[in-house]
Amino acid sequence: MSSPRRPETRRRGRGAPSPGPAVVHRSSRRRRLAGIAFTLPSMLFVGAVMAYPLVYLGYMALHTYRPLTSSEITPAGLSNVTALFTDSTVRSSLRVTLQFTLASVAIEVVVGTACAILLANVMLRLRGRLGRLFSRALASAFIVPFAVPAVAGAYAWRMMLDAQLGPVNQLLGTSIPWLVEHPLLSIIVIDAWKMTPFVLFVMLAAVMSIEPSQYEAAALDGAGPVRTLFSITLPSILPIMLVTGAFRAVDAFTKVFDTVFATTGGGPGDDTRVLPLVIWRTAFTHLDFGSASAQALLALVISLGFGVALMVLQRRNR
Amino acid sequence: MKMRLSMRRALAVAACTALAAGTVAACSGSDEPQEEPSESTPAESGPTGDIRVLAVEGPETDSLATHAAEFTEATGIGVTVDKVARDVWGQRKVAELAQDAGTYDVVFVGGGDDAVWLLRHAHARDLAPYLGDVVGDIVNADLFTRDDGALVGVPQYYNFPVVLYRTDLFEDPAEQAAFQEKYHRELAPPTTFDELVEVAEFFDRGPDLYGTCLGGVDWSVFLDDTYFVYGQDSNFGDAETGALTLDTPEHVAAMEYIDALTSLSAPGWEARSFFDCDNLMASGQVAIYQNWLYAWRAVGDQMDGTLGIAPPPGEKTHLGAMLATIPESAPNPDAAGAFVAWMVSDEFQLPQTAETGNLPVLRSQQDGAEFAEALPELDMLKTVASRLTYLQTTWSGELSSGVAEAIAKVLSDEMTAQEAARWLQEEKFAGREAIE
Repeated sequence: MSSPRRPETRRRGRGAPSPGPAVVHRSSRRRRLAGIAFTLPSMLFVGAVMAYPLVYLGYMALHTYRPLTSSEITPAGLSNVTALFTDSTVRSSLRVTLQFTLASVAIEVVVGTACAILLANVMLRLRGRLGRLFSRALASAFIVPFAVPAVAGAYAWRMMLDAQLGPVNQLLGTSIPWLVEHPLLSIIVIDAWKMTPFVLFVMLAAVMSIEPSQYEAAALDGAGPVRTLFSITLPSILPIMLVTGAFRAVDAFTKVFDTVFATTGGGPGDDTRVLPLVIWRTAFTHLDFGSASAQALLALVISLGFGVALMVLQRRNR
Repeated sequence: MKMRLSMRRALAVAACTALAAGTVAACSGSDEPQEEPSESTPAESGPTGDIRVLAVEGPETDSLATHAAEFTEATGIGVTVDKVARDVWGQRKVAELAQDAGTYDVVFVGGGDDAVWLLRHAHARDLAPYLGDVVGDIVNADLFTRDDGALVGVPQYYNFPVVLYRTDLFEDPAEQAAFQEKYHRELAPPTTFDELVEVAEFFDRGPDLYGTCLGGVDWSVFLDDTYFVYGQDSNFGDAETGALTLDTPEHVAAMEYIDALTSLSAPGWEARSFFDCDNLMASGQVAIYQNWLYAWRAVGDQMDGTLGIAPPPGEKTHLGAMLATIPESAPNPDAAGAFVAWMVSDEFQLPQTAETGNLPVLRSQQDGAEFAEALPELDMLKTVASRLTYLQTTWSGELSSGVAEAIAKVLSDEMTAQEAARWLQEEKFAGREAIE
């Protein structure tokens, strides 16, 4: 007597017969094509918006176009690029921009990190609804400089630093024309005031993500607040600090135009003539678009250098 | 299920494609065909339509925009005046007059800085057919006439630097006596630059009173430089040869005058412009300074009759005027011509003179009783109008930045005036021509 035959069943999941390799291949290929089809329009758009200006910038850097002289765009070879190395204006602006970038980023990272640590301490200790409300209000207050439009903030600072009527001098009991006697320091302070909140909130997130158990263990071992700061907090957030600093350096190097334009105008002399201002002036005042394109490419290459540093740091942190 | 997924997928692809196509279409320019510029002379039946005017922001443009409504009422031609910042104006006027953008019917250019470029390179129409007999009455019309005889620019007004001084100081007997004793001459508005320096030195008594005021920002200090260069009957380029002339003794002297006068200016001059000097003068902190004619009204109105005006020292001085031009690509040139003709007429020139204190542009207006009543200083100002000059180069923007840079080197003691002038000619602008 034979055992009863189990009815044939078609079951899914474990033990179910898997589709053949051809089916799997066709399905994943279809998904890939669908993905490309969905993203292609936006990729084309972004590519056009980003790639075309860059390509045209490179093209213009190798040509002469001065509409004041001639409406023709004529080939210039590498003359615009070699002029970058002989033009004292460009050399001076590079020096000023690098000084500005290093100083303002250093201030932003140090002050932003310190404020983030202090703010985190306050936020973690406050309990209850009122405490949470207070800590949120405190955090929101820090965002104000970052939210103020750059030109508005710059003009406000220009008034605050006025030699005769500015509140800064009145507070200090001096009558120093800050934008004249200490122009680079002034714009560094203005930029640091504006961008420190950005660093603060990035570092706040980093501090808040440190495992509390580390602090508990340190407390059990008898570590004080200073020891905890240097042994746990700072080492934990150091990678984020470096990445944030590199990110800010790229931003500061290329986007310092509005603060300088609204306060010192690049002066006195060439004390605050930063590279973005030189590029703007070459293009839109001198109407020398070939030279301006070469200068813009130089700015791009330098900021790419900061960007590469950022990527290297990020890879090391993984 | 397969059918539903395909339908959903198809709809999503269609939506994305439509979005992308719409974005590309929105970003592309207008494809409407541009009309060919009209070669016609002014229509006998009168022009019609609307016109668009490009002008730099300022009190003179405000006056033009305000009174343009009267022109519209009289002719039916609508006028839109685009008042733009100086930097934007710089780009747009080149776009209209060199690149034939065809957006504007009337484009104003700077008479002092852009005239040579206008004559040599700009694609501008001859305005004579629109103005008729008035052409012969325009003061300095020859300065804006091309070699082929076309009058390509007409001034909206005439403006130039003047000397402004504190009459309460100059008329004080004690001051007069002290000045006489020190300099062995009468205390009076200066007629030479050396006299200007002496007067500024005499009244330099900071922090309550400074001898003079010079603006140190690059565009302002360049204008100051032109006062001294033109005053010595020199220029930045040679109109005959087209060569750059930046290392002449006159340029060296101009930088030395600026160096001397900045040391007699209120602290912080490095970041100031002549507009800031107006405020300092109005607050009584400056004894004497040079500025454009507009300041006579603008500052004088705040000083209770203690501001005096005198002609600028030197041989020649900077021609300040906004020139109306009609680009060859102007969409409505006939209506633009009618607007320019109205602009030089008494209907506009008289109220403009009363409001801005600038000189009218026609000889008959400068000799007219009505204008003399509107501008009591007219007789004195007419003497200046006959010695106006302008920049003899075609690239004023780049030149002014370079000259300001050279002056900064002198003021910071990095170079002497002689070295700075040589640096400008032989290094900064090596190989360049004044007329390019």
